Amino acid sequence: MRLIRLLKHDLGREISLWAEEGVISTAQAEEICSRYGLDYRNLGRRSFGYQMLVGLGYLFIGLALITLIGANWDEIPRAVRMWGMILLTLGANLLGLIRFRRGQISAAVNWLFLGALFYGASIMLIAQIYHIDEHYPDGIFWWAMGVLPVAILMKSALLMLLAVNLGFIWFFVESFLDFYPVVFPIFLAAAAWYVCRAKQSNTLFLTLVAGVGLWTEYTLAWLLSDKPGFHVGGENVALGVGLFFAFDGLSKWLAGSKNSTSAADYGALLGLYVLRFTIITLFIFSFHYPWTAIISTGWKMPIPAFAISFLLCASAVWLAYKAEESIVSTAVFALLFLVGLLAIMQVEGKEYARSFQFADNIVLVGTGVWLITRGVQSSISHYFYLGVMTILTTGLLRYIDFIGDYVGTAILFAILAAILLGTARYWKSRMANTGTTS
Amino acid sequence: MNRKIITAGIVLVVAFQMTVLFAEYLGAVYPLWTGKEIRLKTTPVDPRSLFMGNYALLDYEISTINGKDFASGKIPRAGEYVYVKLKPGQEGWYVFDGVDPEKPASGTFIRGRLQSGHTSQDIQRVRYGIEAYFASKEKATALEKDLRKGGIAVVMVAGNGKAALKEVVAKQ
Repeated sequence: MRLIRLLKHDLGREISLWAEEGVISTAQAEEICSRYGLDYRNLGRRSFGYQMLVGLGYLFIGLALITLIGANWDEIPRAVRMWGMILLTLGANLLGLIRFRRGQISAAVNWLFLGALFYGASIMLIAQIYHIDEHYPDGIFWWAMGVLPVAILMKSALLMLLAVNLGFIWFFVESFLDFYPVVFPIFLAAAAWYVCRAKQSNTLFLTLVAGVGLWTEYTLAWLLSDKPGFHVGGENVALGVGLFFAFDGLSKWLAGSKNSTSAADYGALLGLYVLRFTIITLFIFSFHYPWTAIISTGWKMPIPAFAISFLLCASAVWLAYKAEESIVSTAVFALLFLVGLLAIMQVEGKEYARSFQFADNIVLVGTGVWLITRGVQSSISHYFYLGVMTILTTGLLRYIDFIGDYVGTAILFAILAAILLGTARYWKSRMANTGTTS
Repeated sequence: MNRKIITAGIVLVVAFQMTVLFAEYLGAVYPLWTGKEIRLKTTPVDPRSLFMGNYALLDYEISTINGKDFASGKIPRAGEYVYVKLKPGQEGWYVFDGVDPEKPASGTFIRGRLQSGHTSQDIQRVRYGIEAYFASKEKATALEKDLRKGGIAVVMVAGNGKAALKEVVAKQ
């Protein structure tokens, strides 16, 4: 997956320089730009930076007000404080509406954003004035629900980010108090609608993916618990890894999209983050403790957990097949995961944790080797450097945190050396056969 | 979407926002307008809310109850409403007189939610929505100092058991 899609505005600036210097023609520059969804004629007119600064400015106005409320001014009568906030909320929304009617969409969004912050501040102020302390997540929920429709109506990324982030805060505080956030999918559906149907927003897309993962995991933890609340078991790890596979397949399928530059951008972005989180997860499981924790936690729903993981892996392979991208590697990694999952479901003693830790370290180095070879063969530089970093970090971590004792770690290092040297030899012979000189 | 629909939509959303604010306001004041005044023994500590500023966190005698006191013998799940029956105590404040998951037909009672994370069946925590007394930092600190030996919360309880905190005074 090439990162160039995520740096396309920098590419656009380069293309316009090439056109100015006569390296390429204007028609060619326009054609290259259109491949990345860029408008060559308006490359220098991006207002994103300006809009971001204005949005942040309004955010700080809202924060200033919320901090003032925190000061708890007893000197001002209750009614004045409350009606003052309600009038501010109404006023900001009214100004937003007036600007919208005049066709000043950006200004309208900024005023409505401020109105949304005032609305939230009003909820807090009324709770403060009347000493309400009954299930505070409700206040955040009604704040989010009051902002979401405005975000949909205005098709505004700023308002949608505010609504969805409030939805996330509500999700966390509600589940922290052992309540299941039933209606959280409303916020996910709104974010999905925005990124698919309204406008492109990479931040909202990543937020959506994170939200789907979190909601699925929390739902499973809720189902695993015997009493109202959440119980995290080995099933959550199985589901999490399965989701990574599915997201990886989805990223390949989106990146291969010929008709939509937005889909291709989302695919590149998702592929990058899935890869980073996969490496981080493999590093976490390269230690002894996570494996002993999984083995000692036990399995409450082993068959459904395996079935879901299998379906997610199958969907990843199917999506890779549809995209005609990394089918073999996806299938091999999925098979490794499913075999590993079956194996850990069978064992009961903590003494087996060491074997799984050993296997994870081999997979880590294998992933590093795969990234280096793919990086060089396909000229994808970030694959190459990530592969090198993965192998070096594995060596460093195992040097600090031994597997077993000195002998165990020495055996691991010897196996890793054999893998690396074997791959290098295979590579050399393959290049000799194809006549490659690089 | 055309401009008229969006305009109408925004007007409706703002109306919805105002409805939420008035519902919150009415929910807060109706025990104050219609309720019966009771006094409860309390002890404050002073944390800070990220959203609402400083407040004194009030712990009541009736915040901790015994699971065995449920008339039916069955403890409801965390988060569900429970009704704590109260009777006037000898020292001038109301004291615990039983607990039930169902609303009592008569008598003085206060509605709360059973909390999760209790250490045993015997010890159950209940929140009544009157545990926070918001005040400026100075006032919250002074309140904690004044009430070090305990305080009395003046609470208004509506007919359905919903409570609103009116004021907190030092114990005489």
